[in-house]
Order: sequence, then C-alpha cells, then structure tokens
Amino acid sequence: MASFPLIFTRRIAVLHILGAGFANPRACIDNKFLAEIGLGSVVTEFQMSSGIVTRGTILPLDYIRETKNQNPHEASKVATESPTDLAFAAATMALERAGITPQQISCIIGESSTPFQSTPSEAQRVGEKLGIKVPAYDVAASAGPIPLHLHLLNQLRPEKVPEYCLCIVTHAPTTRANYADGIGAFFLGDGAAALVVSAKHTGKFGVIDAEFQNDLQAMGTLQFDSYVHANFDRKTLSVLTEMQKKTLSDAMKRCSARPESLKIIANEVGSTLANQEINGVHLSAAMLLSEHRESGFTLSSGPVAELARNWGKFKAGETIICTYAGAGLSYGNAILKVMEG
Amino acid sequence: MLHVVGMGVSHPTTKIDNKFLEDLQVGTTAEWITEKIGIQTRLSTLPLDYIRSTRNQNPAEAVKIASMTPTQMGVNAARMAMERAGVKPEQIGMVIANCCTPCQTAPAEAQRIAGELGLKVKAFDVFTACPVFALHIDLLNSFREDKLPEFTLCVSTAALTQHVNYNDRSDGAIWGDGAAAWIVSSKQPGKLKVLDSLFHADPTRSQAVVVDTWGHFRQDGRAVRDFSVRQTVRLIRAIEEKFEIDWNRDVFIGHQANLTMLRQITENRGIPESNHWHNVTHIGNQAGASAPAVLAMHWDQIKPGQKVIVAVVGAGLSWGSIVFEAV
Repeated sequence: MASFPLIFTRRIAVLHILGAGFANPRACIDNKFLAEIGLGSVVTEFQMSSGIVTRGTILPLDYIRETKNQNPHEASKVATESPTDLAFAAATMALERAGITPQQISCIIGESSTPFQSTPSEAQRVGEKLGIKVPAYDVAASAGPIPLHLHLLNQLRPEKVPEYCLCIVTHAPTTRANYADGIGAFFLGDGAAALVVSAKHTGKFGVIDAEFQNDLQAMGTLQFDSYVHANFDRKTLSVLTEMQKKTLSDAMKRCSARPESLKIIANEVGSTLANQEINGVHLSAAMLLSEHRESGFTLSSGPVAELARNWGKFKAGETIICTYAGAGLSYGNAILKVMEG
Repeated sequence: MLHVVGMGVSHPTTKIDNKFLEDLQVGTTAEWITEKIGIQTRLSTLPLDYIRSTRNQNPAEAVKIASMTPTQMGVNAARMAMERAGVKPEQIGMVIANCCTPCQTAPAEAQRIAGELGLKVKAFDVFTACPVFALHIDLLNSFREDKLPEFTLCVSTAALTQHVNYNDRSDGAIWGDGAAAWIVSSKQPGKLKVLDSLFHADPTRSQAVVVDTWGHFRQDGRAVRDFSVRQTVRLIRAIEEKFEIDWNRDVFIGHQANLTMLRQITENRGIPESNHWHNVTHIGNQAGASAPAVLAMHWDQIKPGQKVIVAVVGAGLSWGSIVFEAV
C-alpha cells in the first residue's frame, strides 16, 4: 500500500488541524485511593487488563471519600474546577500551538456530556473566558471534535468553514460516578481537549477523512442522566471495546498508509489493542498512542487529548487514525496526515 | 436552495394562568403580569398542585412528576412535521436537535428523539438555546449540497417550567414548555424557501441567561430585555435593507420572550399587528421552540409570495435571522 505524497495530500485535505491542546484536573484518583474507599475488588479485576493507574477528577478527594458521590447534583457545588475551566486551559494550549490569538478565532464549536449549566452552550462559556464575540454553539453527540466536529466541518462548503474554528470538548464524568459501587469509578476520568481547525490555512495535520456514526438501538449502553449516576457497567465496557475495534477496522480499510507509517489513537477503555490483529495488520505497541493509563476514560476528549499530548512526536508523512466510541452509541474515526514534523 | 417542507409543534396541556401566579403570593399580580409582560397563560409539564405546594424548589423532583419529557414533546412535534411534509420516518436522513433542559446530558437529545422515532440515521445536537431556528437553518444552508440528506429533521424542545423557581415573581410569569420541529430539504421544494440566514453570538455575555443543569433558571432580566429589543430591530433593519419587504404583505416572527418586548419591536419597524405572528400570550416563552412554533401554528395561513422574517435573540447571548419566501 502506498502512502499519499504530501503535495497530493494538501490538495485532498480540505481541513487542517493547526493546533491541539489538552487539560487535566489538578486532583488525581489513584488505584490505592479506590481500594481504600472500598473498591479494591474492582481495582483488582481491571487494573491489569486496562492498565489504568490514575484518573483525573475535579472533585476533592475528601468529598469522594466521605460521600462516595451518592448525590451527583451536589458534585458541582464542591468541584474545585469546572468543565469550562478545563476547556479553557485546553483551548489556550491549542491556540498557542496554532500561533493565533483568541481574537483571530472566527467560530467556537463545543461539547460537554457533563455541563454544569444546560444553558448557555459550553462553546459560549469558553468564549466568555476567551473574551471574544464570535458565533459559538455546541455540536454534541458525546463524540467530540474527533470525530463529530471534523465530520461536520467536512460537510460544509469550504468558503463556509470558519477561518479559524476552535473545537472544544470537556467532560467531568467523575461528577456522575458512583464511588460506592460499580466500575464507573475505576474507569471514568475528567479531562478536556481542543483543536484549532482551518480550511484556509494549512497546519500540522491534514484531515483526510472524518466519519461519525451512531447506533441508536444501543443508546442505553452509556447514559449520563442529569440527576443520577452514569450507568457505566461491564456491558458498557464490552460494547465500547467492540465498537472501538469496528470503527478502527473501518478506518483502516479507508486508509492506504503502510503499517510502519501508521499511528493509532484509540480509547482503549477495556483492554489494550496492542498485539491484536485488525484487517490482517498486527498492531504493535509502538503504533498505539494512549495515555488512558493516567487519565482514565475521559469520554470524547480522549482522542484529541492524545493527539495534543503527542504533538511534538509525529513525523511528516505519518498517518494517524483516531477512533472513538462512546455514549449515543456514537462512534467514528478520523484519518489524519502529518504535514509537518 | 433550502426549503422547509413541513413543521410541527407539541405542547403540554396544563395551563398556568396569571391568577394562579398571583395566588402564589410572591409579590406579583395578574394585572402587573398582563401590563409588563403581556402573557395570559403558559403551558407546563408540571401539575399545578406540585407548583403550588413546592414552588419547584427542587428541580430534581420536577423531572419525576412531569407529564411529558422534552424528548416526548420533540417526538410529537417531529411526527406532526413529517405528516405535514408527507415524509415517512425512513425518508429522514439526519436529525439535529436543541434542548435547554435535557433529562440526560448524554446521549444527545437528537439521538433520543431519533431513537424514539425508530430512525437509524446520524443524529446530534446543534445547540444554542433560543435562537436555534436561525442556527439550524444557517448551518444547513452552509452544507455542500451533495452532503445534505434529502430530508433533515430539526427539533427544538425544552421544559423550562421544570427549572423555574416559583418563589420568584418574574421567572414564573415568563416560561412555558414546548417543542417545535421543522423538516428541511435542498432537493425537494417546500412551502418555504430560505432566501437568507444568519447566526452570531457574543459569548462575553454568556452568563446573562443561565439554566443550571440541576437547578433554576436565572437571568439579568433588564439587560437581556434591552439587548433583545435592540438586536432584533437591528436584524430586521438589515433585512429591510437587503430585501424588498412590505409589512402589509410580509410577516414578522420574533423570539417569544414576552409580548411587551415584541410590541416595542413591531412599533419601531411599523409592522402591523395583523402581520406580526406570535403565540407567547397563551403559551409563554418556549425557548428555542418559540419562533418555529409560531410559524408551525400559522402554517396554513402562509400565502404564496409572502416573505416570513424570523429574527431571534436569546441565551448565549446569541441571535440570528431567517428570510423565507413562501412558494
């Protein structure tokens, strides 16, 4: 399989990613803490297969220890940071990497599955922190900038894509986790990420393709009810793991990159993809980029956060496949070409 | 060219009238509400007894006893829109939705509505609260024609009364619950052709109108009211400069915040009451469903050749406009 020459790639990649950022909360829940509050059996069951050792939280550890977050709508009152704070930090990093100021942003698209306010939109809250007056609205299906926002921007006429579009995603699922029971407490972590995207300027990544899909019959797999705990359980894990493989397989079929120039970012929620075979391609550990071990399952901020964490590590000519599966049941992928090392 | 081929609405049936609000004894009177806000009744998913006894101090309880969810209202509105459009559910290619008061923050409201309709299509929320009619039309108007499905279902739904603090004398008078749906096509002609659309925002004022996910609605009433009137007038003026508008033939629909504000706008632009369509007086402010609900409820009164100008301002702060021409 031949990879795309860079010049050809520039022409067929309408969208470019100019900057990416990520943000994690200051506080961290490690496996020792979970064992101490009574979730030792869950830790024992999943720490080896998932590899997760810590996950970020906007909640004070004392609050989790004392209340086990039995009343999720109290969580926002005690949180030391908000999902919007995290999104703002991620956006700031993305803008810096893109080399643009907030005033140059022409549009903000946002998403949060755990907003502290159901109105206004997360995009508008982030816009307020950035101090800018631009069109801002949420595009949400718990699928984030990768794949949903890129998929949407790819549907627009090129002249309608904002010059610099800031795509932000932020989730604080620990505010909906049950720390007395269940496995959500082990897997869920808080985090935010952001992309600066343009159809008028080239950047570090060309977006070859971005596909968003959902399986509405599997909507019950993962839900964030406004007033009660998220229903993250073993079935959630199993379904998301399978959808992850399915969407990765779909992306690999559409991607003509050689395995040696391919990198994969997947939210390896349940178990690692390393040493598995997808479409006849052996996935080596070196191909897989994932720091879920330290941040947990941060929902749809995961793929963009990984891209941002590894920002300086990509080589020109490499192909990155980013995949995601989450609530909705939303799933999808993006195929990116590294334009600049 | 984008067309709206069908529209629908859904509202609960419980009426909160001004006498009920006066009897709550929170410092308001039926006369004050009528004079200052112009709303006579508003429709709610909440039982009157619940409001009377609890004043909805704990919105988490409201969700449990509400007669309808935002999703149910959205589904009902969508079914009406499809029937009017002569479109079967399996012909819908994409669903987008907007909800200020979701019972679940994930999956998306669009996914819940699409799931209830038995659809197997891409569904995601495109959300900005009140001005969403303009946002959805403007966004779909920006699609590459080959990327837009034959029919796209758009829905806006909200149950703001479930987030009202009925000890507050102003907020209880404003809000009603409801949903509106509109089906859009760039391939099939429909009753309304989209001539123009616009969406913009000033997020620096995003905290002027807030619905807490677990709590109550709050707003900087005076500032928002003044801005809404001024901005709506600006939007209409810009349309008048760009298009040939005859207010004896053409129709204006504003965001259904309150009748007093709408009258300030229509008086400023010389729009006769006969060509000012509204429903706020008997339904209340239905957030993003407001303006499209008005259009849906006047669907059979639209005359060929008429222009329908929608100008909406709301939370975000965001605003937008649409110029339709009736075919």
